[in-house]
Amino acid sequence: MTAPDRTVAGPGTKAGLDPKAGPGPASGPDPIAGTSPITGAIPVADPDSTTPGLDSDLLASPPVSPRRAAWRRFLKYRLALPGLIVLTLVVLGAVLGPLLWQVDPNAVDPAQYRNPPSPDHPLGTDSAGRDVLARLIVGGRVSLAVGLAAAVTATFVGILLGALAGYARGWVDSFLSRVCEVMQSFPTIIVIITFAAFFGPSLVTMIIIIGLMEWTGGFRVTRGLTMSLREQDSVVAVVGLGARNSRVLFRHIVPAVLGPATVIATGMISGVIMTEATLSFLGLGVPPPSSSWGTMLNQAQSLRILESMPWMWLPPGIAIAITVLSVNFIGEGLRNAVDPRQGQR
Amino acid sequence: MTSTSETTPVLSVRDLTCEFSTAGGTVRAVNGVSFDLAPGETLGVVGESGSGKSITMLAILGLLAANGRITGGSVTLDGVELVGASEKRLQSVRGREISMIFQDPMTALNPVMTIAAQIDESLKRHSRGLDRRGRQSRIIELLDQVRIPNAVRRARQYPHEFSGGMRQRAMIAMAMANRPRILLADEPTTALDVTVQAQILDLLHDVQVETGTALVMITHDLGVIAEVADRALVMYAGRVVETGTAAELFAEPRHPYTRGLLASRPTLDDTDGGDLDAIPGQPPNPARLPSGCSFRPRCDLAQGRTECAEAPELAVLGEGRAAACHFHTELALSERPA
Amino acid sequence: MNEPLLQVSDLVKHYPVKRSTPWEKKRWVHAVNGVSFEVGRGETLALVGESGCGKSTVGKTLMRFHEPTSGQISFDGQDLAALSRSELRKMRRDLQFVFQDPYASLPPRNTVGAIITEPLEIHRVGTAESRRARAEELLDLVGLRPELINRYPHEFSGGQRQRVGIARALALEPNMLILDEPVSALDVSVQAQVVNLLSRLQRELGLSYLFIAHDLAVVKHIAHRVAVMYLGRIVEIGTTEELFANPRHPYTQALLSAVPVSDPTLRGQGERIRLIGDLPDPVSLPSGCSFRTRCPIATDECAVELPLLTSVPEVPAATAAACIHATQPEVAR
Repeated sequence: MTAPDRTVAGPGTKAGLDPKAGPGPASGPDPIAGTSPITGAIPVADPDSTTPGLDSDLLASPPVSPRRAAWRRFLKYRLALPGLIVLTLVVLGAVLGPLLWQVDPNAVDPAQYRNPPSPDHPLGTDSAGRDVLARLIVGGRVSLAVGLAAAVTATFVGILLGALAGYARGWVDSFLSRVCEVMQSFPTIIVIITFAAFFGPSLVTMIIIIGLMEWTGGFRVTRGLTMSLREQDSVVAVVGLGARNSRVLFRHIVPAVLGPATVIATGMISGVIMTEATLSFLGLGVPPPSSSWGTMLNQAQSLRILESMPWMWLPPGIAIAITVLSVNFIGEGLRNAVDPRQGQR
Repeated sequence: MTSTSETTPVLSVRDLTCEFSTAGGTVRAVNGVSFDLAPGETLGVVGESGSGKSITMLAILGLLAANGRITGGSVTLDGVELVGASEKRLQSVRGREISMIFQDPMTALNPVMTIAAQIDESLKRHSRGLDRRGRQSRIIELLDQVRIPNAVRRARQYPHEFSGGMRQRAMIAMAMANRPRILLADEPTTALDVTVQAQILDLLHDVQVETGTALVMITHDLGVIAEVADRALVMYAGRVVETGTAAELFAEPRHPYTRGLLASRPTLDDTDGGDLDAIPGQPPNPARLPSGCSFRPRCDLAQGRTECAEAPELAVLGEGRAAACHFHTELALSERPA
Repeated sequence: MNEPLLQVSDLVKHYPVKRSTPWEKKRWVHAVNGVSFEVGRGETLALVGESGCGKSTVGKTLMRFHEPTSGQISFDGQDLAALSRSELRKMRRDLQFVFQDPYASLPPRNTVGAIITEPLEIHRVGTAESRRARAEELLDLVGLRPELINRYPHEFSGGQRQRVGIARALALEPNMLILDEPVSALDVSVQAQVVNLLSRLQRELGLSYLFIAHDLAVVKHIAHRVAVMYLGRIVEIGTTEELFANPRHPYTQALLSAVPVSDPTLRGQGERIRLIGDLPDPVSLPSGCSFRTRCPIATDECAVELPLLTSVPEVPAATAAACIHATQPEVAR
């Protein structure tokens, strides 16, 4: 059952980067590498006892990258794909909508005061006679931008600080963890209101404030994962190869954390859209005349409108609900996608 | 405990087949497995990962995972069919007629219950005749039987207060609580150190002698088979490829896989320092078995022979002796390689 | 084998026990308690013992995955314990580590090619193309088809992954590998392949191995010399042949007698030494000889003094055992 070992670059010398040695065996027939045909039927046993390389089914099947496997797991949650499609449509609508519906969202027309839907204004007009559909489209841009930008900022800060705390441990970790606890014990919305009142309401302020207030979730997840990852063999192995901390951190730990952090981020998007709506509802969101779904709801807050003019509050309300729901569905799918235990084999 | 008759098997498995539905399609993890277990005997089941050895045992107890089911064959306990029996019936069998011991006692024991409470649960369920005091004394008796020192004090402790070996002893005490006829032990010593393994194997043997229970020892370690088994099954890719007494299997293996396993393992009795006679290749993935004889791609006897394109039947070679190889006669003629 | 490649003297590694309150007394786990050994060029020294004996900690401390508490480690003439971070990184080219669990030790998101070229990338060896060619060469060297270079670890079986781990460890052409239970997580029919591969690589590349294992049969097959550890100390060390033939320390004797027989016909033959009780708590070691609490031949003297590793001058081949009652090999043999 024994077969001769294949010689590599002559006895005694190292099979190395020696250019003269050339790749592969120096002499003798090589029964495995390259020569034996990979056919469907395997009539001959592997002749080289030290070579298990003839794993025909491994070569026959195309490589499944972890990314593809993750995509499959994502699809396993049935609502994930519909969520993704709907969210894409919402984003496309907000981005491309103004090209298709070329009505000025800020054009005030007192003659069109609170008109119900009509062919000219499919979703009616608001208290200033502005077209609700146009405002809905433009407002979507603000809401989605705030949601995405703030969530990305918050997650980015969270991952950065979390990876730092988890990797450095010691006093760095103690300090950042205490800061995180303090942040968490603050009622976020009140802090945001204070800041918004102080710096004046604007899109950028809102994104930065929310981003800087909401990093704790990403931080906690990243810190915990980093702590356990740095003890794992696959990471210790890289340290053993002589890698610098930066390589270990950014090539091996951060990529492993990105998946779970994305889940946190999606969970945050819906929260941020709601926060934006709340702020705008309180008049601390984007300043007039620009609209957001939140400001539209804000401007609809009177009993008469709520009772008898649903075209002014129903569209932004539905838009928020649809967006938040589809983001949550995507988040649920992502949760599956980043958990390799789901749907293995 | 004396058994009724030495010839009637207590457990009889015939053509047992189990399939699992997975994302990649149906996987046949156990394929036509048959064996008999005589009262009081020790049957070893050897196999590697994916050989179906553990799944066979879980199937006997009706404990397959949700995506798995028995698709054929029969399992009879004292002549009574267990395949297709109601869950209630199976529950009355598990822990009373047939008990199981697992590889990792830490996951099999409940971490928030004392050892005594866990044994008590099983006693309450199956030994209804015992009152509270009777159960208490039985628990201490059991812990003494598995040689746990200070049984009275230890009974009140939690699993985490036990060492690995002590935990496995507690597991055995639990399994023996209702004096089962059959003990299924799935790699009970794999997680243990060699000195502790020796203790546990001794203990299982002693318990068996004292109670007359039959033992099925599932293992990947031929040493464990050599140490404890009366008879053994060798499993590969969901099938039984060879059976016989332990002595027969070691002295004259009649399947190339058995022979390969024996030849490839280093032992303390080896004298030469040459290369080991390794079996080439990897154990097959049960989801993608080779056609024909599953061992064919790794077999030095197959070598392109056309017979191997067909899966060999388990050929009976004698009393309790069988091998599933087209060329088992060749193996009988050739000497076992050193 | 003139100058040993690796010389370890009096290596100590203690871990702090996590305190539940800050005012609790600081206590230490005594994982490694003064271990000394040498590994020659091209030699395999096996470190054997049961779980908790500190054998893995020795390996990981040598790699400086953990900082040693005290002791000297001299590798190829350099004092490892005194190296700065950047010197340490350079040293890692010559001393590599293979992990026990081939499922956990390869980064799951990288292809096999990326895994094997990573050490070359870290040490800026060659260009992207030459590194890739080298990876294919290494795959071939460890008995895997070079075509598999774009595959991911999860597509491989355990034995194949372990080969990838070995290929990665060999990428920088080290002098020595520390092998931490390299075959114990593998299927039985695959263990022999990897053992053979390691023997072949040693022959072809002149590698030194520190082979950490609990499987005595594998150790007997692959090692030139063996050191038996118990509770963080070496209790016996010697050539494989001598140690297996004439174990002198009662723990070595117990360990060997506990190994299952290789054949059912040998059942019941040979004396079984059954150890009683459990491993003592490594936080508070027994006084004197650590093994005395479970030793079948312990006497009162054993509690008094820590026995040192002593060899038998009359029998040069004999092992050195740390036991005051160590069985003396017959002088005229």
